[in-house]
Amino acid sequence: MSDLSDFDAPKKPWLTALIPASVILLAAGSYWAFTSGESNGNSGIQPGIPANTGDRLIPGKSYYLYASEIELYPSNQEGKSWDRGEDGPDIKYQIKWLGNEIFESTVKEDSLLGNWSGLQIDLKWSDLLGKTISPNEAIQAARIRYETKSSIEIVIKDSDLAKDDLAGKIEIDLKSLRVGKNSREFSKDAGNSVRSLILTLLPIDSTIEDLAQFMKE
Amino acid sequence: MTRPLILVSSILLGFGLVAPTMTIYPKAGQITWLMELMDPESMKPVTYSISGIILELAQMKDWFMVVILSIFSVVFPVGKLCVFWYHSYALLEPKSLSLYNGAKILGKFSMAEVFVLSLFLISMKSLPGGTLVKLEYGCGVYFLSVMTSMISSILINKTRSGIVQ
Repeated sequence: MSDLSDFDAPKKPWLTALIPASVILLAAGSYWAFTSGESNGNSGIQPGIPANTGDRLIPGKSYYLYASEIELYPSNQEGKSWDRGEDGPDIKYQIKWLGNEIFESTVKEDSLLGNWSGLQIDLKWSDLLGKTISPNEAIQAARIRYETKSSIEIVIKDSDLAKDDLAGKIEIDLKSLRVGKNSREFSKDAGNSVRSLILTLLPIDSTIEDLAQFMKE
Repeated sequence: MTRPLILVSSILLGFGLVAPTMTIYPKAGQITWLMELMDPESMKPVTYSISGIILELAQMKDWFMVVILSIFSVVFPVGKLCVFWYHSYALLEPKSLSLYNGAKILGKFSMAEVFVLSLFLISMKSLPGGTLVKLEYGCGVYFLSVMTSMISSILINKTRSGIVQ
């Protein structure tokens, strides 16, 4: 045990005190160099973006569908201002599939440009006492099944207390849609005041992380 | 035996400072799925090393905690090993002996980080929502470094006692 003695002591022993510090630095540095290479190698995949964005729809498969953005022209179908005074329209939309209304959005008040994220939870104060919320409640989108010859109808309205004013009815062939964002632009005429529409489609079987990431954008 | 043991302790300390010490698995109780949906980044498990914690605290500009953790987790253990090494060459030198005794006292304080870590773990474990904290191998490596440095200290004491007698 007693391998220590002053006979083998260096002339300046205090200098040797730096040896443990150097060993510590060397060990830490080599470990860091070794493991940082590993972590860099795994960063090839961009997280949060569904791998099949841009793909054609698969017949028989179910999808979430919602309008992530709707822009209206500054005047309604009659060429008049949307609301009394200078207030902008209160935009909402409905999705109809196979003749049935399957989804109605929330209202975006006083805006010519409405955005919907696809994720929304309406909590009341009483909910704080212990409400359980399922993922289905949080995803604000229509659920459709793709068939090659089917289409959907988007009905866009200016929500009013008395009677909603129609901004436009847009029929879209499902065949023309792709997974991800689908942008459409329209000209103004007597039956349409919708300038543009972005429809988002995501496979229902996407991972929850992919859905969240995509719907947040 | 003593000097190789100090070297082993130094290597272990080097690894222990940068190796993963613990991983935090964030949970939010019944709405974990919701948090994963709304903010997946914040719900991902996070692994920390001792140096990583210090760097993160520095980024947060929490300088008080940076200084405290740096002193107790890095400066004291490294300084203690340096003094042990120096003392192993100059066992009977008064200056070396006083440094060694000082290092032994400060060495006790360097155990404080284990205590801080324990408190941190307990506080994390008692968080609502089922947040989990898992210790990683870096914690074991760091602990081994502390143990080997303690054994080195005992060996040095024994050797000096033998020489004095």
